[in-house]
Amino acid sequence: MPLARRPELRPLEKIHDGKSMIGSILPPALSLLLRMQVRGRLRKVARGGRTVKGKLYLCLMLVMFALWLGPTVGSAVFMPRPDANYVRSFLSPGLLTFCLLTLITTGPESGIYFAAADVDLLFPAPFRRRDLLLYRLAGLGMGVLFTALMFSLLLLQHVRYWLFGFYGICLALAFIQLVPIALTLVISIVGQRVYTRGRRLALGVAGVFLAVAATQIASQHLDASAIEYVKQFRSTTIGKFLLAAFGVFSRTITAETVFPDFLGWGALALTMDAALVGVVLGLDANFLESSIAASQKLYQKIERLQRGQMWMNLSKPSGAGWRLPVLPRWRGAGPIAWRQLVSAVRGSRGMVYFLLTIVVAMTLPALFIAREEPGILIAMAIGVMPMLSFFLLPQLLQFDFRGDLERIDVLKTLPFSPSAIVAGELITPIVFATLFELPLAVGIALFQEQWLLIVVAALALVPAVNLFVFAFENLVFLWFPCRLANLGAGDFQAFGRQMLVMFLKFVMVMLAGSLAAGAGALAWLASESWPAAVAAGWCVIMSFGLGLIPLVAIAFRNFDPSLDTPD
Amino acid sequence: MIIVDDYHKTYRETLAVAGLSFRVEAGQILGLVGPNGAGKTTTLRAIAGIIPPTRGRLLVAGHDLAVEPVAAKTRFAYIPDDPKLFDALTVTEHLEFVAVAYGVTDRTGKIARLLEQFELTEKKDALAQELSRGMRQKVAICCGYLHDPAAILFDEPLTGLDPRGIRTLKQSIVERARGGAAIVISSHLLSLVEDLCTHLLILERGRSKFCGPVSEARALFADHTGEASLEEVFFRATEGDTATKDAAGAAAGAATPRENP
Repeated sequence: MPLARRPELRPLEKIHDGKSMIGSILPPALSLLLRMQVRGRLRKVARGGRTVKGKLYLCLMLVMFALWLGPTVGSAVFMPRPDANYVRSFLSPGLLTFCLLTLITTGPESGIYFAAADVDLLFPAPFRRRDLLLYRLAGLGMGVLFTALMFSLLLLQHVRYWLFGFYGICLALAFIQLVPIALTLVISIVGQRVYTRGRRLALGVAGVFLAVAATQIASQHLDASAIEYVKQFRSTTIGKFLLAAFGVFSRTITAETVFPDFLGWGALALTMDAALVGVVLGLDANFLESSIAASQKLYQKIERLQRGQMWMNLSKPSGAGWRLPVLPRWRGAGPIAWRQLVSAVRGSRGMVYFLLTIVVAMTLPALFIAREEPGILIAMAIGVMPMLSFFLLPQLLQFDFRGDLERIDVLKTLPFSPSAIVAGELITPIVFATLFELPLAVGIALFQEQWLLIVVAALALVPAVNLFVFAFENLVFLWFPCRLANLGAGDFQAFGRQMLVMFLKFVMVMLAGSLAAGAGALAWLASESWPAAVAAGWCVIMSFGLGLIPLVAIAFRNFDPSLDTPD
Repeated sequence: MIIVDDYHKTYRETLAVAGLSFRVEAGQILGLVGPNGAGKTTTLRAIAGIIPPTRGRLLVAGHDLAVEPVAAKTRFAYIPDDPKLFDALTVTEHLEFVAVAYGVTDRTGKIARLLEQFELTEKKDALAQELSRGMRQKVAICCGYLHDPAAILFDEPLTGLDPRGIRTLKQSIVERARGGAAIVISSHLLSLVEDLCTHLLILERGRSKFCGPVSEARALFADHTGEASLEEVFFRATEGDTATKDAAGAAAGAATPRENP
C-alpha cells in the first residue's frame, strides 16, 4: 500500500523559521496563533458592541473605569508623592506575599496549565516541548502587560514616573509567574510524588523562616503596631534574604532618576527575569503529562464555576455514605429543596473553611489595633456582616437557579407550579446563609448591653434579609443569565454587565433597607418600643422578599433555556 | 506505519496499560474497543505523543516518539473525543493555524475543499464558541485532515455528528485508508467498527484480549453456527468462558510487532 500523499508539506526546518522578533523565538504557527487570539478578543469586544445592550455594557465599563482612574490620576497630579523609601518598605513585603500566595494557590497540581484547546490542538502537533513552553510564557507575558497596566495606574500616586512603575511591575509580575513554573519543571524532573512533597517542604521551609522572623520581632517589640512589624521584618536576616529579589523590583518601580536608579535596578530586574526564563527553558522537563492533569483540573474548576458550583472547587464533597431524610412534598418544593440541601451539606466543609479564612483575613488587621481599642473588633465584625450577607454568601451559596442553569430545562418539565419550584430552590441558600450569619450576629450581640433584644432581632431579621437577598439574586439571574468564569482581560462587556447587576443590587438593597429602617423608626416613634421597631422593619423586609417570589416564578416560567449562551 | 511495542503505562500504583504490542500498516483501519477504563484513550494519547509511556516504544512512520517527537507528530493527526477549540478563533482561523503549524502549502484551496466536504462553508467565519458539539467535531476532523497525515487517530469520532456528517466521515476514513493512511479508531460503537475496520484490538483493564484481522476475530469467537457478530466477539472476548479467553489470549499474544499481520 502506498503512503498517504504529502506533496504540500514543507521540510520541518522551514516550518520553524520566522521573521519577526517573536517569530524568531516561537514557531510561526504559534506566533500566528497568539496574534489571532489577540485579534479574536478584540473582535469579541467589537461584536459585543454591535447590540444596544453590548454598547450599554461597554459604556458602563468605561464610565466605571474613568470614575476609578480619575481620583487616582488626580491624587498623583495634585497630592505630594510619598517618600520612595516609605513605599519600598511596603512594596517588597507585598510582592513577597503575592509570590507566596501564587505558589500556594497554584494548587498541588502544578504551575503550568494550558487551555483545553491548547492540549487538544497543540500537544499532538509538531512542536517541541520548549516551543509549547515559550508559547505559554508568551501568553502569560501578554496577561502580565494588561495586569501591570492596571497596577501601575493604581500605584500612580506612589511612583515617581508611570513608565518606571509600569516596567518594574511588568518584570515583578513576570518573576512571580515564573517562580512556580520553574519549580514545577524542577519537580517534574524528580517526579510527581516527590514534587508534592518537595513543594510542601519548600513552603514549609519558607513558613519556618517567616515564623522565626516573626518570633524575633515579636519578642523585641511586643507593643508595636502593624507598620512597625513590617519594618522590623525587613531588618531581620531572614527578612533581608527573602526580600532581596523583590527589593530589586520595588526599587525599579519607585526609581526616581533615570540613571543610576532606573537603568541600574531595571537592568538587574530584567537580568533576573531573563535568568529565570533561561532556567525554565534549559530544564526541558517533560511537563506535558503533568500539564494535562493540571489543565484538566483547571478546566473542571472553570466548568463548575460556569455551572455555579463554586463550592465544589473549595474541597471535595464529603462521601455519600449517609442520607439526609427526604423532605415532605410541599407541592413540589420539598424534593427540590432536599436535592439542594444534600449538595450543600456535602460541600459545607469547604465552604466553612473558605468563610473562616475570609473572616479571619478581614478581621486580623483589627487584632493589631484591638490592644489599644477593643471596640474596634466589634466595629470590624459589624462591618463584615453586610459584605458577608450581600456579596460573599450570595456568590458562594449558589444552591438555587444559578447552580441549576444547565438543569433548568429539566426543572421546567417537573409537574410542579413555578412558585413551588422557586420556593424549593430558595430554601437551601437561605438556610445556609442564616446558619453562617447567626453565630456572628449573636457574637456581636453578646458584647452589647441589650444583647437579648439584638439576638431576638437577629433571629427574626437574618432569615428575612436572606429571603430578600437570594430571591433578588435569582430574579436578576433569570433575567440576565450568565456564566461567571468568562471574565477575562478584554471582556469589557462582561465587566460592564457585572457592574450593572451590582448597581441594581445596590439600589434594591438600599431601597429595602431604607424603607425597613424608616418603618422601624416610625414604629419606635409611635411606641418607643424597640421590639415594635424591629417587628416593623421585619414586616417591610419580609414583604419585599415574599413579593419577589411571584416575580422570580414569572421569570422562571419565561426563561428560555435555548437562548442561554456562554456569556 | 504505527508500531506499539511493549507499551506500559502506570499512574502511581494503577496499571493503565500493560505490555501492549501491535502495529497498524498503511491502508489498515484498526478498531480499538474495550469497556470503560480499558486504556483505549491512554493508548491513543500515548501514540499521539501527549503522554509518555512508562515503558515500551511507540513509532509513527518510522519515527520513535521518544526520540523524534516532532518528526513523528508531523506525520499523524489526532482527533480527540469532544475536541476543545479556541473560543475566540473562527473556523477558518483554526484551519489556517493548523496549515502553518504543519507547513501546508496551497492552504486556501485545501481549506475550502474540506469546509465544503464537511458542510462548514457557511460557518467558516463563526467563532468556535458559537458552534454546536457536532460542528466542533467537524472542525477538529478538518484540522486533522488538512495536512494529509500518514496516520490518523480517532477517539469516538461520531459523537455529536448528524447522519450526513457520519456518512461523510465514514466515507472519508475509507478514502484516507485507501490512499495509504493507517487509521486507528477508538469507539464504543461496535457498528462503526464493524462497518469500517479491517483489524480489531480488544482491550480490557489495559491488556490486549485480541489483536488481529476482524475476520479472524469472527472465526475465533464463532458460535456453533460458525458466525459471530462483532458484539458477540466483544462480549466473548471480555466476558467469555475460560477456553475462549485462552484462545483469545493466544491471539492477543501473537499480535507482537513482528508477528502481527
